[in-house]
Amino acid sequence: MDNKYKILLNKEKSVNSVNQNSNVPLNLENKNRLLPLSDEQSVIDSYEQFEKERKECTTYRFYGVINTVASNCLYNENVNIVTINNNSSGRTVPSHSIFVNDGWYGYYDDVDLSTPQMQNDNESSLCQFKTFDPGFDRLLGLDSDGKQNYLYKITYPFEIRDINLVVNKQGVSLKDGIQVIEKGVVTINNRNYVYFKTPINHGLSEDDEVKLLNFTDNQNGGLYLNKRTFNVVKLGNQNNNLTERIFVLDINPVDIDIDLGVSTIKRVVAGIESEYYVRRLKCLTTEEKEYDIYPAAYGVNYFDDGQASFYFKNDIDIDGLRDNLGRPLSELFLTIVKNDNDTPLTDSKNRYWIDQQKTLPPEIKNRFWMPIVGGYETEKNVNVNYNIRAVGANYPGGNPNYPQVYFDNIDESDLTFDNDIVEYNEYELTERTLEFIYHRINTVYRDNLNTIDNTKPDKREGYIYNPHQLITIREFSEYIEEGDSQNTFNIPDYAQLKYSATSVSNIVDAGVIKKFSTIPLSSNSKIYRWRDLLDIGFVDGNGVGVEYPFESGAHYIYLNNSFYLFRQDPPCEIDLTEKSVTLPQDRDLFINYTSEPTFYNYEVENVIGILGTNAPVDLLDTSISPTNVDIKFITYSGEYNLGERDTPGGCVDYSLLEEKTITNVC
Amino acid sequence: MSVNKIKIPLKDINISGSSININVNLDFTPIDNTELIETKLIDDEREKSINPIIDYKKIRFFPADNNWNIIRKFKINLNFFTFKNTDYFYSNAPSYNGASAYGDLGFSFDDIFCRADRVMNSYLTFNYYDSDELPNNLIGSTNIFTQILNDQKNEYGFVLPINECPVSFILGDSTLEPETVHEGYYIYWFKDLVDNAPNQEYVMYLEVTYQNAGNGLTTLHYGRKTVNYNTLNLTQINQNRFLKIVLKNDNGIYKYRFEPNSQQTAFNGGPGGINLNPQSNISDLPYLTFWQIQPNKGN
Repeated sequence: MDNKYKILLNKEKSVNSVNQNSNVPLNLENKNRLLPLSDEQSVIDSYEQFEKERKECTTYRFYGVINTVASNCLYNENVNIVTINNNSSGRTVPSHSIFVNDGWYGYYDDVDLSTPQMQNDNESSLCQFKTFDPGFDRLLGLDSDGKQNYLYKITYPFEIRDINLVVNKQGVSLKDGIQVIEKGVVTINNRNYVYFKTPINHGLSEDDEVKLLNFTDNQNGGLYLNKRTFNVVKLGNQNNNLTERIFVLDINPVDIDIDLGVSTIKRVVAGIESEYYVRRLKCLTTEEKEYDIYPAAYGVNYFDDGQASFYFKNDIDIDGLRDNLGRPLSELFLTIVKNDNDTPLTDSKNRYWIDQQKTLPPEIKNRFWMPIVGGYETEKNVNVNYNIRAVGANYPGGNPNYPQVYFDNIDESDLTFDNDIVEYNEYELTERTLEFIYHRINTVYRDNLNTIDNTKPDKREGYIYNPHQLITIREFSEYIEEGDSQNTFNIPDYAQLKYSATSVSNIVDAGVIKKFSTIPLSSNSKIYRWRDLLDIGFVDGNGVGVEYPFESGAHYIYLNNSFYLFRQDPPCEIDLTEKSVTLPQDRDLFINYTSEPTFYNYEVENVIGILGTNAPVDLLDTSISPTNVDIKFITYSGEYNLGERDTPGGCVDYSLLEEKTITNVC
Repeated sequence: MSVNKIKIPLKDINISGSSININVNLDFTPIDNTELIETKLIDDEREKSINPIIDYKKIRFFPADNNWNIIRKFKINLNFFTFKNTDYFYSNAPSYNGASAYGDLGFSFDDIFCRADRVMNSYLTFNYYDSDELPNNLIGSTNIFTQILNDQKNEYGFVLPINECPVSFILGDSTLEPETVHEGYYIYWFKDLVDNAPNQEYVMYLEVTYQNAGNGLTTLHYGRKTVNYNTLNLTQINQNRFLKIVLKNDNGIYKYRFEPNSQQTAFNGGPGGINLNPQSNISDLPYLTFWQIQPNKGN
């Protein structure tokens, strides 16, 4: 039986053929000349064989649909970029011609006879909606310029790293626990309790045990902070807000103080303190050519934007790969990273912006997007690092300014990426994600607008997105196995050593020393704890387990994900500002102001007194007598000082403004 | 089992801890190997008898030019015989390398203008075969329905007169050329077969037919003009009938290209209709022209 044959079924060989049953003659050759007592027969169970092959298989194939939810609310300028004689130039689209179409900011194109008519109908290019840059062709999952806007990768967690979440000089970092940034008081039934706020999600629940580290004990040791743990009384502040960031302990607030950035907390389970760290991911695929992406059939989302189908052409074999805890892989990630080169360099829009940016430093002047930085949705605090919403909120002399410590210079070509902040407790043998990572992008033009044109402020608000989406390929059992090395078979190599007979460890729990007693085994015996990795296809009573198709010698995993491009700091406040010009001498300035996307209206006080008539007057007439005109603008502000905001966030209350109905000019 | 009996005088045992060597010989011979058969042979042979898993994964192949550069779109021209006076002739000059007009197929201007079913339901079929030698196996087919698009319209978007309205089809990439028709642009085939083919190149053959819903005729088209088939043997006819296609794994990018023979190529002034690298003064798109084979005129 040395020869094995791949048999392609007839129906695959020809569309006119059907499959046929075939008998394969089997020769049993035995050089040992065994003497069987009788004819031997064996039936192969196809299901058993399927299960066997499925268990042994470590090859995965990924395919699916990505629904990109994006808009260009953070466009560079309200300009229509045109090419004349091979030179790119921008024509300002006046504020009254700016439209928002399904969240996209742009304008309706004028009649352009040079543009070919659309195919298959008689619809012309008249009234075609075009977006300001960056628009459809840089932000959606698919576009037709041949340059992909995002790079898709499959990644897996392979190591951890430590970061310093809160500024401090003692070298305290995440490995020492979650730093505390605020102490406060919660009163329950006329009794004061202390609450602590953390810069990231603490991952605690009511009644959880917490270890307090590096706190100040105003009772001169009477709180026994080093010897005991405290139970969480409740979550959230007095009004039950911020439950994920604030927890309450039964300690008199006057008895304890924090040292900002140095005081930390750790969750404790059965005497075992949790560990906190950042997971790092390594790429299993690296290049664009490793997957195929195309418009999804009938794939249009609520905002009328196209969805993208994809499949990875090459199989992904995870055989032998281990995660950051040394376990076989149970989680992979679909990593989506913004591609800087999302439009051909020869494109007129690229040439226009690069021309605008020619005075910038060489490392950025030829780019469209700033290098990606990574961080987390932390608390708004001037001592907290990695605050993704505060990227760029560090104006010289600004107040407050936020530290600009991030995972920086991230590029789509990277082979490793920083991922979420997780908590791992060795007693529970489980990792829990506390914070998802976000990438922040902004255009070079917006980020450096004041350098390009000193009459304009920077526009430092960018987009943020979660680049890593979880793919669960296996599940660990809910039940923790425990066994000794002498009497237990198949202890997995990733099992945690609980204790060995030769090295009994003392466990201190709430100030009481609990000692494990050895079981009467040999001195080589070791006790291990682990969670079984559930077989594919096995789902327990609580729904824990995975089930996905096994076909053609590979596991098929379908991914149906949405990819959201969020605003970094959506502005919720409306600011009415005013500028005055004198006409006709400031005629050009007046035209510029009224073309600003934030232009609201203008007023001429005492028109009759100044101009001597109540008849319509052309303010742009260069012969009118000097006239002061007040120009009003509507700008918006968010939580962070990120420069000028041209467009409102979804949270803005428009009731302050006068409303009028406008009609589509087309 | 035989046992050697040995007498041991007590006088010889005067030292404590003496040892005696006893030979134990087993002359047992097993009469069968039942256990071995049941525990090992059957399992081993069962495992050996199971064939490896077939990989049925199909992927997309992109069309490429002669240099294996992917082409975003290409054009199919169909050229027909028409009966004029006493004989059949190509509907345009013999040297012409483009498409016939819809008028040559018997369609009226109203048919085209109104997108009548008899026009729109006519279609071109790509049949893919595993060999160019009969008997061969049909391994797939694609239907490309009538397109009334830019080629069939003037600059104002109106349909051309029937004697100028070409029977042509433009096929393009679904992402890069979203306004084109994508059916027929890609070939979907087994990745495993291409990866394991010599030089990672897999060959199949294309046959082109046109189904005219106006008159119910199905016509066969070759990538070259009709010659006197009475002078050719069957092999030579099949070489004209089928157009070779090579599927290739080009360093992780899966492509295919048409490989016309010397009579089918139009590249570098060749006599045929297939040109994937046209010079810009001839055509702005890679094109494939297929000529209807000469109808049977009888004796």
